[in-house]
Amino acid sequence: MSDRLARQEEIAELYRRYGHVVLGRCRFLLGDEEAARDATQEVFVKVMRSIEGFRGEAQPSTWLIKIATNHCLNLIAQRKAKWRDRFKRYVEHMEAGGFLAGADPERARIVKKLLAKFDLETQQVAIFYYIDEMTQEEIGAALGRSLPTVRKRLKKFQRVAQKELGHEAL
Amino acid sequence: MKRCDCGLTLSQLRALHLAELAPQDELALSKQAGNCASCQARLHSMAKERERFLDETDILKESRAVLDRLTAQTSPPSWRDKLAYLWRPQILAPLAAAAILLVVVIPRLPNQTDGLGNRTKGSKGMVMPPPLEPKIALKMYVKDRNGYHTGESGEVLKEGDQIQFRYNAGGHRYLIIASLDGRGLLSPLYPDTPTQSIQVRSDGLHVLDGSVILDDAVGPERIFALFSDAPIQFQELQAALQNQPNAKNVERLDLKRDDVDETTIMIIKE
Repeated sequence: MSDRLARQEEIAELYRRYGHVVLGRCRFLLGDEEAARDATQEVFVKVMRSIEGFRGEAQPSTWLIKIATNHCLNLIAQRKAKWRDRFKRYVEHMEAGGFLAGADPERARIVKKLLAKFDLETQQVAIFYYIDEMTQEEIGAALGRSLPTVRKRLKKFQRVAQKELGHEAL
Repeated sequence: MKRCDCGLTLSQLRALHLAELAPQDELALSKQAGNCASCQARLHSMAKERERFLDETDILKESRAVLDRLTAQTSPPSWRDKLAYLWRPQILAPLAAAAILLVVVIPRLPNQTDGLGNRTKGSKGMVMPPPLEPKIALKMYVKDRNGYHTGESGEVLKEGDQIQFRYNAGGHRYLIIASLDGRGLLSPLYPDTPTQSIQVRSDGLHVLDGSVILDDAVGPERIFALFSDAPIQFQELQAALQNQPNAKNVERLDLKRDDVDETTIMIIKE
């Protein structure tokens, strides 16, 4: 089998096994089906580029979810351009409903609604904690951050959630 | 954070669903999930999602597309790549046909002299076929109160309507989009700051990230998309506009660069 065919089959195998997980995350964050499918391709490009650096300290799905989450959050951040005189840009996808298989739908909805208020890292922590239900230690390992830093981001998210949505929102 | 009452997290369930666990862990978690209705429902949801994905997705096509992107992103265009553009079938075939036409079909014309014995080859009657334009495209997709539709140049739109662009770079690697309003004011759209072209995928039809919501200004707006082999500075667009005799009614910016191809869309805002 040629090198190209072998690589294509490697990618196809990743798609068969993890494609629905990656697409689900992209769809949830981006809200738009076509954008989500485009982002899914980009995520697998990133995965293929860095696959040799995957050290296996986390489950492959955790690693993939992390790449997908980061990619989509970055896309969202790029779309939030400065106000222009002639046109304004607004990312409606943040308002669009997005079903995420396995996740608590109400919690997912609340988290997604609040995401726009935070920096990228706090967004990542919130998603991993409230959607993926990872422990703070697991989040720290996934993001390469210390436990105190993760706690700080989480407390920041919780403070705003409480203020915006009332107590016990999450 | 509330986890399931049985203590299993989504990450654990996902690992179980994807068969990522060591056998003894898989056994333990399966037993734990088996006794929990909520976890069973979540596992079922993930299984249904995978089934739907595999049904709806052309895995071969997607994997090919990923590999193409991977290959395209690993090497910047060299002068060979740029030259190779000329050898693409849709460019080469018509050029070859034109060459054959010149050599074989067009009759030799009598040489003309200028009275001093100097002869000049005549070109009277020779008609060159127009050069083949690369297939650049800028398409507009509109979301209004009625839903989504493909926008047409000249379409009347309203405040709050949302536009998403798709492009075909026709082999070029850079794109800059700007809009010109009825007052002659040029504004950057992609990128949204007055800097330089963004890098894009060179072939195929692709979605541009982000969308634009129209504000309340009324009147005609012309959107220019310029594809190129090297970045275009926003100032070049401004300079080209200033060189136009009627800056408010421009249909082409015409940068006078060989590597640039341009297309426009007009919208009318009411």
